[in-house]
Amino acid sequence: MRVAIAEDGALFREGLVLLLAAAGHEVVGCVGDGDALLAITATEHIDVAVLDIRMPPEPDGGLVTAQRIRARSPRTGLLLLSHYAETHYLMRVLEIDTERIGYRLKERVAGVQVLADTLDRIAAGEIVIEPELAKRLVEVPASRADSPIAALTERELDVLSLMAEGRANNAIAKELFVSAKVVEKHIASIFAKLGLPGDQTMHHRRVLAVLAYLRATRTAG
Amino acid sequence: MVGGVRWDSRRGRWLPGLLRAPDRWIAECRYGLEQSLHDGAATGMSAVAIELDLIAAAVGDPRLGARIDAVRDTVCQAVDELRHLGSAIYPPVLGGAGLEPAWRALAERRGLRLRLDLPGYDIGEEARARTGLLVADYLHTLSSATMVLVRVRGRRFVRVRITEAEPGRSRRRYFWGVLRCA
Repeated sequence: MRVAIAEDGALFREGLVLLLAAAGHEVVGCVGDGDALLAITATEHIDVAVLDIRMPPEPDGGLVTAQRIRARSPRTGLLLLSHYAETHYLMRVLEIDTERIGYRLKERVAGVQVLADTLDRIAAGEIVIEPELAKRLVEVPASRADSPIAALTERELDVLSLMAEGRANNAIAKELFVSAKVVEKHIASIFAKLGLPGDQTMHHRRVLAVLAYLRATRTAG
Repeated sequence: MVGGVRWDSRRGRWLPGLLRAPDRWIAECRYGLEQSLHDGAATGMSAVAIELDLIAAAVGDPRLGARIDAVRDTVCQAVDELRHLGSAIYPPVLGGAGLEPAWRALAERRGLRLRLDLPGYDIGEEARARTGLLVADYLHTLSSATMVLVRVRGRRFVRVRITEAEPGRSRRRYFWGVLRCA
């Protein structure tokens, strides 16, 4: 996989290069700001771009650059990294796109296996969200009686949380020690309880489910 | 930061407590501190986590590898602590996104039920930073499930009013503050 990195922290940037090399990926560019990354994407073919959210151009240069890259090269995957798991950043990421994109904490992807898995999933077209953030988003609205999420069972919340991380049905089944068929039933029930339209594609409805509890989080209170 | 609230027995209600906003210098100082923590310590420790992962993968001894993994977990926990500290010093999205996203993020983490009544215009950078910190500091003192209404008005003289109702308490408490901004 051909990967480009934009990160203003030199130590972490160099570390990412080593990790990517260890995972067998080719680093085609390694820069300290969004504008320089944009210049690289104009001349090089890149499978996935890794961007720090808080980098020049300040304050959220990574998000602005990601948006520009997506507009210019829709097939290029985007992995946005931050030290903070913030709903606001997630909403911005989802505004950019809901496919071939990820948002993860820096120290959580600081390992060959995790980083490689995250990049593979993004390159395959998935959305990858930091599990901590996905869990928080599910738990908060679930605790409120007026939230549509409150109608979900505990098991359905587990499934929804894993869906929010971008996991496929088989991966969810493996995580919860149930069959894929059971997961499908739970997902159908989640879609019904959240009132998601039945004429959408399965992938689209999964994203809508995530957005439903994002909205629930932001409008509650 | 928060002045004491007093009970007005004649009227049967709490008198509004006074909130003291951080001045401009304090707000700038806190912003700088959070930036230093983020760009320095937190990023450096994440780089250490990467190095440890690479070392653990390179060593042939499984026992040594397990010990390195344990150290790596400790480093990740330390980064998490820094994250909490940084957020308390200066809400990470306050500078880039403004009051509402910063307060909502805080309310989400603390399990508060937050309602906002904000002006439809930009109150300016200084007022945003100082008002943001004033209310964020206050939200940090509240227990989970507390209902909070924050109202902001004004531009040069920014007026903040907070109404709060803790779960299990029948009476609401009121706080207010005024910031004179350049």
